[in-house]
Amino acid sequence: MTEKEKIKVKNFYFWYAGSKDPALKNINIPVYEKKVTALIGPSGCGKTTLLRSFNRMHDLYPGNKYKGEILLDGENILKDDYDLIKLRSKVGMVFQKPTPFPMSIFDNVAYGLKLRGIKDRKVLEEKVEKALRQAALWDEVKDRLKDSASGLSGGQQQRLVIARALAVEPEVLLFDEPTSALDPISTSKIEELVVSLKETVTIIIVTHNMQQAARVSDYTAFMYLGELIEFDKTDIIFTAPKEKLTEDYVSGRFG
Amino acid sequence: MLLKPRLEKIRDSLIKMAELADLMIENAVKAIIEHNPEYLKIVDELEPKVDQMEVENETLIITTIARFQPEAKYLRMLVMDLFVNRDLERIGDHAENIKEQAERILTKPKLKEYVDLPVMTDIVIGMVRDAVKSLETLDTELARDVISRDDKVDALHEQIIREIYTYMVEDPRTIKVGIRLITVSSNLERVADIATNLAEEVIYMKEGKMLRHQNLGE
Repeated sequence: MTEKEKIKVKNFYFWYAGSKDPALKNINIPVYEKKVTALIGPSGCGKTTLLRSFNRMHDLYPGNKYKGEILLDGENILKDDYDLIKLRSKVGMVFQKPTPFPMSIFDNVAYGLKLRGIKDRKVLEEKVEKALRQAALWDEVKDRLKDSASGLSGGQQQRLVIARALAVEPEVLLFDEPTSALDPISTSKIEELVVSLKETVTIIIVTHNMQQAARVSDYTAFMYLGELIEFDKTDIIFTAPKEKLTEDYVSGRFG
Repeated sequence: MLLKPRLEKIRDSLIKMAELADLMIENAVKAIIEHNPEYLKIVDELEPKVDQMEVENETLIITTIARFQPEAKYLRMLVMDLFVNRDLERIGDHAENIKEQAERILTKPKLKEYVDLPVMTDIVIGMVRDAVKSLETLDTELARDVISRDDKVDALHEQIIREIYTYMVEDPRTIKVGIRLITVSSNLERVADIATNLAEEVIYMKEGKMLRHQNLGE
């Protein structure tokens, strides 16, 4: 494997507030640059917990505890003095349910840019268009950018929030079950989008839908009960995994 | 890669592989017809390439089935691609067999001017080429035409055997070369069978009809 490691998870543990047992135990995985890495496993295996560690979402709740290292470009993002604003502008996130802000389509995408102090209308327009194009939504909304985002369909809303995340030019995008609230056609559009986005960003995706992981990812990590069972190329995980537990899971014997 | 670009990549690779396998047959027989071992070098160069492609294609097809769990049309396509891949590799093996016979045939003087062998070779190579072309375009008309040419190849094979018998009966010193020439003809006849299988697979892919072990047109 000659790919560059964008993120490296080293001896990583995580405890939810008030819990004695760690939710994640000694996780070690690489995340390769400009590739799609899928985290799969049955409910409660820790895949979403791990995903949320990549942009320190767990910091929003007091008492949660990390141990070990998550290196982003070689720098440990778990350090106390790591700039969280910088982290979250580098590592964007897309959630299960689309979360458009109650404002126009244009303003939704421009939101992060304005927060960053970009005021020049022309620059904003350019960046919004670029992000909407990248998110494969431009053609559908270009004539109604001033309309409210809530008028879009679920699939369009999801692509809108992807555009919003892309507008600030993140280096990593986290997808948390991005299609579980969508119909099959919207789902396949998002899947195509995920595959095309890896030209510019590194992607980590959590999905319940194992076939989705199989379709879109380059690498797959299989987790079980807070532990990493196996990490390998997706081609290998879904044809000849090394661990019996992985084999049982991908062939549908449990989970 | 999502499903469609993968299917295209597999198809392109199979077509390329067929071209190479065809070239192997063509050059192996040409060495005999023109009594020139130079052509056998081409066969040697191509053989590892075809083998390598077989392994790569098989891996790509299996991972595609595992990752995309295709149904109906796409499932038939991928399963057939797997058969086609194996078939093409076997054509390469037959070319290799012909090459081995050619090496020995070329150590002796030419038994006769070959008449039927070039005709048979042309038909067989054309069958492989058109079978693959029908695969590329899913042209079932062309596939049926390929299947219909198999009888001619069988007839030529019989004719070659009969003719070489007469030489061997007349002069036992020709037996060594004669038997090897018959082996070459047998290998060509097998390649025509494989081309026929390929064409049947195209028909299955397009129409979902299993033609094997049935009379044509039923």
